[in-house]
Amino acid sequence: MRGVSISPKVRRHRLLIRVALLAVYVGLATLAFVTGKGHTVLIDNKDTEQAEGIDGVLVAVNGGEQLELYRGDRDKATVQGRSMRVRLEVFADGTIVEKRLRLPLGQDMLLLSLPSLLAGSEPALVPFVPAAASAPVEEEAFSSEDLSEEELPPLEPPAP
Amino acid sequence: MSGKRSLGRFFTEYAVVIIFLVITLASIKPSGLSLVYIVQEMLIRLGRNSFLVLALLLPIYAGMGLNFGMTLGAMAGQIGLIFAINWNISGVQGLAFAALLGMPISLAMGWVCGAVLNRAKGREMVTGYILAYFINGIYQFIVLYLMGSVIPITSPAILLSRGYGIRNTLNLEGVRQSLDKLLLLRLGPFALPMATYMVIALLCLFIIWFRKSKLGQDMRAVGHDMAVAGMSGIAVDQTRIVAIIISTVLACFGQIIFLQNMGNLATYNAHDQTSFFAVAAILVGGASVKKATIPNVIIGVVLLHSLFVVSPLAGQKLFGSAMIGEYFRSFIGYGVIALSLVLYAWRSRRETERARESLRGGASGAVAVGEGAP
Repeated sequence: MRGVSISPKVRRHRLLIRVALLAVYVGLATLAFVTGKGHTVLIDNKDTEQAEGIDGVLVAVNGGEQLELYRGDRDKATVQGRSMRVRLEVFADGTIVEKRLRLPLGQDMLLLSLPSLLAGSEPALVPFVPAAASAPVEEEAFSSEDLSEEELPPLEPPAP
Repeated sequence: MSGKRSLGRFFTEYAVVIIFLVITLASIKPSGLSLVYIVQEMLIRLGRNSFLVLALLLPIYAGMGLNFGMTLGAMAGQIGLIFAINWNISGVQGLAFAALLGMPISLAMGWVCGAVLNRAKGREMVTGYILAYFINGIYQFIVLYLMGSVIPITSPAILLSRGYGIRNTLNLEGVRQSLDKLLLLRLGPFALPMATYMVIALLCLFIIWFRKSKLGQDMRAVGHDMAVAGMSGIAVDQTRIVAIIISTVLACFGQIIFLQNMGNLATYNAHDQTSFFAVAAILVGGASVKKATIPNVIIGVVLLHSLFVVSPLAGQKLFGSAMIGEYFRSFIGYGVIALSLVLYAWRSRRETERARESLRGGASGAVAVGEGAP
């Protein structure tokens, strides 16, 4: 097998096929990453600098279950991909607002301000940083004894 | 006489299947489970396990026995899933991403496994089994120490509180049953995960096509007789490596399908018994170390898992303890593998003796004719 010489044409063909396969592989992985990326969106109906919270609103994300929110309420929805559809129905005057929002790829948790969305002030969707995460955490020396039972690998494997 | 002999041959050929069928049927009544429940469980488990068991076929065709090294592929699949959870990729895309990420790892693992098994011809099964233990150590090192410290893992949901290493159990909420529920067909009281069945059917078609391909024919030739295959110009070692690589990659995909159905990942030991139960299933289906078919896989999965469903409850009802049923599961798994291997060895020896006897008989006949001649 090793002694057989391969013509340059065949070698070029092989290289092309391999490069094409690699491109398809990377393309598929990127497609899966971009379209499958999940985000947690906190739907916030609290007062903002520009607008006051809405007193009674029905919110549906991507045509899913409708959430009933009053002034000061907050709920969450899980969405997937690069965009989301939001539908608001205000109780007081029956105003219906439908918007498609673009989701940033690098952010797992986002905050959607309903008053800002209704008022049309940008940006209504902002990255959410939990207060606890931003506070500095004291460094501690670690030993295996620090692991709780739940964290340690069990001795017995689970049944299939 | 010949009818009795053929009946005896049938019983020895399908001894494991018959024993299993009898025990399962006998356990259904004491378990108290309804037939609808058992059938539904079978439909779920058929989707969950068949892909993994099908991954065993190619090495059997190549004469490498039961590929206990498939655990390596399972580990690769788990690494893919860890990254999918870390980057919060959900749905079928999450599974596809895990499969794509696990594939190169399983390719490399398969190559390593194939190369090692080529140096241990004739002892592939035990070598694969021990190799899986060795690679398991490396996997544990990577997942427990390198992930989070050297390999960037950012999700606090999967990282240990110390800042590196992955938690013992991961919640696969984002990808849970995403393939099963992609195309769920409700048929009376039964729910059929059609998308999973389609993936399994595609693999079956691939195996059927592969057997007829040039490489598939080479594989079977190698499985039949390595020396003859080598003399007829087939690259024996390379063919064996390809068989193991394909099996390992399929095991990677199979483990992802298995775990999406389960909905959680036991990071450090989900792969431990993957090969063990897959091997038990294919043997229960009537396969042997040398011969296996797709029906063997389907029958095996149904039989083994129907016993797994009914045995804990039957144990509880008969002996007052569900644990007896649980022990029974392990006992059955190991017992089936042992019984199949013993029966295979016994059958091979008997066939060799029969062949030797027929040769002797032929030779003595020839002598008798010769003696009778003037």
